[in-house]
Amino acid sequence: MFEKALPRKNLPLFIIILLTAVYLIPRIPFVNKPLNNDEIYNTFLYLDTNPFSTGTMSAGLQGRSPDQPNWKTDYKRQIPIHPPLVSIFYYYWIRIFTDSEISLHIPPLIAGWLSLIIFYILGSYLVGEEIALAAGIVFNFSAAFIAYSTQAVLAAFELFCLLLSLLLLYRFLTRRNKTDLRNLCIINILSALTFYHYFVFLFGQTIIFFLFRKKLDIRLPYFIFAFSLFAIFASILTYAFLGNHYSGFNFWPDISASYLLKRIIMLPHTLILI
Amino acid sequence: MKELSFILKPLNIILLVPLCIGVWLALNAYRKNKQDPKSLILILLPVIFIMPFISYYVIGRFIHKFGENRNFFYLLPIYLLLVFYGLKSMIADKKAFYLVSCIIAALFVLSGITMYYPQLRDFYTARYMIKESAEMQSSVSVIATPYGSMSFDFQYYKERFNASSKTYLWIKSNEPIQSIYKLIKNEPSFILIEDTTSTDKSRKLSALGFEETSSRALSGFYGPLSIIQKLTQQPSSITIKAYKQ
Repeated sequence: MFEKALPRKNLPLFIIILLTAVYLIPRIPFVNKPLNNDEIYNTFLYLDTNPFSTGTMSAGLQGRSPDQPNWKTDYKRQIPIHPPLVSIFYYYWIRIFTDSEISLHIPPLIAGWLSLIIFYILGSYLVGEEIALAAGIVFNFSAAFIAYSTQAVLAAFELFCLLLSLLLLYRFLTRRNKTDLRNLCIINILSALTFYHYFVFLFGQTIIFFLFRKKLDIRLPYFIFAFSLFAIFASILTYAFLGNHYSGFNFWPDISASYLLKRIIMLPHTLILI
Repeated sequence: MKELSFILKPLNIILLVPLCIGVWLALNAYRKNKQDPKSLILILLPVIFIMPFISYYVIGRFIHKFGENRNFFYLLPIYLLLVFYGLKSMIADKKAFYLVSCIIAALFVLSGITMYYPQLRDFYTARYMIKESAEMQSSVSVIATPYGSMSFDFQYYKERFNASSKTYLWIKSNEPIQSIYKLIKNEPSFILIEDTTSTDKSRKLSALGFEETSSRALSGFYGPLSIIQKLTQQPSSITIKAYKQ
């Protein structure tokens, strides 16, 4: 079981240059693009001095009415509450590099670039270099990826977290050493603090670890951590449901099979600009 | 350009075929060798891909936002990896495979341009308009925005571009910017406006004959252009210089 060693490959410089070039070409014109509605909304959150404060915004944003966005009204506005890691990061980033368009777009641009490189490495391990290169280039030119890698929202960070986690999981399953497990746990914690959809991946990872817990030498603390995350998520859902926080004006589409199919079909193109 | 999107959308439906083949190959790889880490990760890909859709059905009952497009974005690389995994099994020849990949990439670029170029152009124009109007000499500026969204879009840029105390009238419409310009020039019977500077805009605008509408998610007021002039009391200062692109 898991005897096969991870092939030691150095990422060819040519591939890095190629991927970086194709990544930057369609994105450079958008680095200075005006902020859209969601980015501005998120920037208000980023600028808030305390993510869990009840209303007072930072000095530059005073004068707006009390119903302006903050982390508390997030519930009522049906905007998902994501864990605060990215907001904390942006809070300090904006104070160092200001909230200009270029400044706000640089972090997702870097996260997207790293995602593309990781995507190629992971793909080359799993399905071969040819497929990874072709998929990587097509991925790079997807309208959704281009837009989200130049938007100051969570999407590019989510992508980076998920791909890095997958790569680290593969390394750990292949090599089974403590360093890889430690790295995987660190990225698990950081990702869980970045976006709540991460529980989807963590769920799959936990099942694998549970099935092979003896061979992989996975200890109880890991399962306690994973179970705690699932419990927290379930608690938030229950609270939201019982507290009726989401019963207000619903401007999201109805849940239907056709809607879900449409999401799959339009996956490379769907994004939110407004 | 619009016609082109009708050609490009079926591409996504066609891609469902290699996607299904890719998923089948991943399942098959796992079935043949359940101990291989590679096959474990490969089987994890469809699981990750399917989980949000299942959870969307369950959790979406409580959190409607769960169905938002962006919540599926992080599945895109997994989707493409499975699509190209399936595609490679269909096209054995290396050159043909790369050629097909380049064609798909080119179609993705075209679809991006056709679907989102107009919105991006409007974003740039709107920012330019607010900046220009902030620099104008008049005490009143009428600004039309194609955002069609919330007032803090406007407020955000106004705070950054304007240090004066001039009056702003924000005209909001889902129409393209050029259409708004034509509408205002022809003095339409009704346009949607919002006074962004008034502290008690509801009372102020109602007193001037504006009709408040509750049919929209965001508060707005309908009224003829002549009332805008009455509101400002300075008809000559209303300028639409900012519409010039």
